[in-house]
Amino acid sequence: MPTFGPKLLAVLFIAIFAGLIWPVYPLASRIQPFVFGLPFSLFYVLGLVFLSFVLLWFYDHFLNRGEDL
Amino acid sequence: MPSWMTVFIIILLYLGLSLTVGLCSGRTTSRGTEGYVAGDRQLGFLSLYFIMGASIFSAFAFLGGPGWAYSRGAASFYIIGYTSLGLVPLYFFGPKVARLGRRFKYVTQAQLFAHRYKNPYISVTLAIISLIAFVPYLTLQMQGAGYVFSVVTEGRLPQWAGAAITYGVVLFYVCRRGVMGIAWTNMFQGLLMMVLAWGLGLYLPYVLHGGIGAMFKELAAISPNMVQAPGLDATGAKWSWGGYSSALAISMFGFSVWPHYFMKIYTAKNISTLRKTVVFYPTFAFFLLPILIIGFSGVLAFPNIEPADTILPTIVTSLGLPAVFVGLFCAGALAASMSSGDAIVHAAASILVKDFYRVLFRPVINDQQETTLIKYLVVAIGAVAYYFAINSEISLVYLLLLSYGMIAQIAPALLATLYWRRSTPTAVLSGLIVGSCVTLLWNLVPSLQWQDIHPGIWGLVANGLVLLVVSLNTTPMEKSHVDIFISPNKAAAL
Repeated sequence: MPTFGPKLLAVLFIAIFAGLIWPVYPLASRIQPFVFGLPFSLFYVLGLVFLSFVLLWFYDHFLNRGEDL
Repeated sequence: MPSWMTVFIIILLYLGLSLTVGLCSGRTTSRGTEGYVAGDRQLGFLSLYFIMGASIFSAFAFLGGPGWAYSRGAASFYIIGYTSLGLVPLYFFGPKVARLGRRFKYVTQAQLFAHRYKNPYISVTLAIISLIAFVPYLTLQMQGAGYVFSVVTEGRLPQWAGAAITYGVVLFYVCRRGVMGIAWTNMFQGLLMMVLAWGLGLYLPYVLHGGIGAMFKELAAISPNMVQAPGLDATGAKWSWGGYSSALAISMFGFSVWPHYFMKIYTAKNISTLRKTVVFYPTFAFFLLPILIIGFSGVLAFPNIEPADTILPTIVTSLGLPAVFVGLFCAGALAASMSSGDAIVHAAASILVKDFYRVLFRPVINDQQETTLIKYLVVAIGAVAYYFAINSEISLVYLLLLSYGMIAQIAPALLATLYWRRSTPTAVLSGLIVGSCVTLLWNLVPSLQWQDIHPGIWGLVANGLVLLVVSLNTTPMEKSHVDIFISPNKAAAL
């Protein structure tokens, strides 16, 4: 298994970014279902943004060994 | 006492408090440019968190954000996307830049590039691009501030006077205290913005529609394109995915290279503080959600408000809220304007002296004289922006859109500086110039447009290609010099 280093982190962020634009986001840009009172289209964006926050926090807290990225 | 008086007094109290906080800060920093521009590289997590957050969210966030949601619906989701993720690249390159900055005493962005490529013209080009982007940005902040004043005093205080009072305060604390004045006022202004955005964003949909869920359901039933991306374009028709995606992409690429945020890398006390700031920065950016919700809440309750950017003040002033709340809201909007305006005017003056005047004219001046010169330029740039703010014949929003495309052109140069050994000075310089010109051309000639793709994207493509081709056809730089930037740890060990 490859180690979770800066390269994998960068790849995950590129994936999240790709999720926010064409051609991935159009697949998720729907009104139904409503989640927490928000249309799915908005919930999806917030979900990805939140995921990226958790991912970076997790990496920084547990995996970062202080090396230059 | 008429209610506008109460509002006015609260605003004056807020301005007084900003001035006091600004002037009380940074008494211990050194008097040279390292103290004035980079805070002696001693900023901790909280100062850095608020300086980043509050500088990024300007009057545009407070007035333009709800305006976008109000007039273009889901198109505004892209703002949440790029503002929340935009700082992530800094997690990767920030530590390296901070270390180099400490070692070679950089305080501006261009100093890094010019040193890496041993080329003064790169620094001058970057200074010009930065100023083209900064002046309209600052002008818009001033207009926003003046606008708030004229609305709350019901026209008794004209826009020019409001802008003058607000920016008088800003210029005073920026001049006296430099980056430390900005850091401390931004902490106070940032908190005010966050509390107000969350408060209003949760309260308004509840009052106007009986809750956020109920509001979106009503909207979805009446105008489905309003609540699913890509939303609407400026004319109210469905926006294209090309427009949505490229707007998000260009804002994201440009985000972390905006010179006034980039410079804040040098102010960090240490690397872990810088990393922590990038990690937690989205918690500040999440306040855009309530901001956009405010805009959505106005769609059905207040139709046909023109211009759309006035939707937030319109809602706030027409709900019959107690004057104290209206006053606090106005203070929040001023805080948003000031906390960006201060960082911009400070960065613009520093860049003009460090990267333009010093590089091009090589004057014999000492560190303290240089700081004094920066202070004079803070006032001069403030005056130029103010002139444009009160004589707004030119379309500023247009200039601002252009500037986003121009700033993004710095991103390939940064990548090459820190990660590509083979890149050469001529290539970076020609990439920057070609990229900026292509962006400008695509802006000026609308018939070149294809699929609504942002002009800056074409600029980036041209920029990258030129950088690649010219680099491979020019003499590489000496390895020992390049190592300092690409693998600083190895270079230090040798």
